[in-house]
Amino acid sequence: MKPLVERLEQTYKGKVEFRKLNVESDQAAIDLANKMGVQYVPTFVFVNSNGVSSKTIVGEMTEQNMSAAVQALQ
Amino acid sequence: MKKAVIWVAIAAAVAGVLFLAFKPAAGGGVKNVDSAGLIAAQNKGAQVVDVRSQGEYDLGHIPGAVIVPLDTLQTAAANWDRNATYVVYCATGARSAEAVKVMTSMGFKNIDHFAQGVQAWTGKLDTGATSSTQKIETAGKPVMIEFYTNS
Repeated sequence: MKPLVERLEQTYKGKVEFRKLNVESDQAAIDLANKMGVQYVPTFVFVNSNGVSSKTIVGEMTEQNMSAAVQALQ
Repeated sequence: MKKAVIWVAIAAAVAGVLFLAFKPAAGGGVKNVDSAGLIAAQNKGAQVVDVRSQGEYDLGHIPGAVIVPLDTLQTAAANWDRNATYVVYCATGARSAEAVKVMTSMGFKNIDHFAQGVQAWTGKLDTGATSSTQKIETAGKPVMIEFYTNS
């Protein structure tokens, strides 16, 4: 998913923040994943500007679906 | 006569070994469940997996189910615990039957198949995408978080 996320990151630069959290090596990421009930990877969480998670998707996403989910945040 | 007895004994021994080798593990394998069986499995900690599309899931899904469309299952499930119990379902049982095959081939040992599909679900359905009540700190901008592993 890395190239896809990086492409979207460029497209939405300055408008949407992209956080890539490694739940193998990053303890803060593991803690957040536990708090959010994330059980599988990859999991994508879409959060609005108020900090409220509006959508969680488990598993690989197509560019079209991911782009639509990011667009819906704005 | 003596030779025949020896051959019968050998055949019985081979049959016994084959039976033990291919006998399904107690409590494991694939089994079909109905709504009550799904709830019972979920109460014991099974993860319910909806293998339909995102759109179908958003229209209504079994509470607690995660969305993993069939065409993404192999990749999404790569790091899942092979010994945990999963209940898979779709709309009518066709896609979930395929999902059971995929998961079996990947080494999952405990799969419950809600074979009649969501149309046979007797409880309430949740609508919309799953969401978390956990508030995330933002810098006033929307955030997309990807949880991933290197493997």
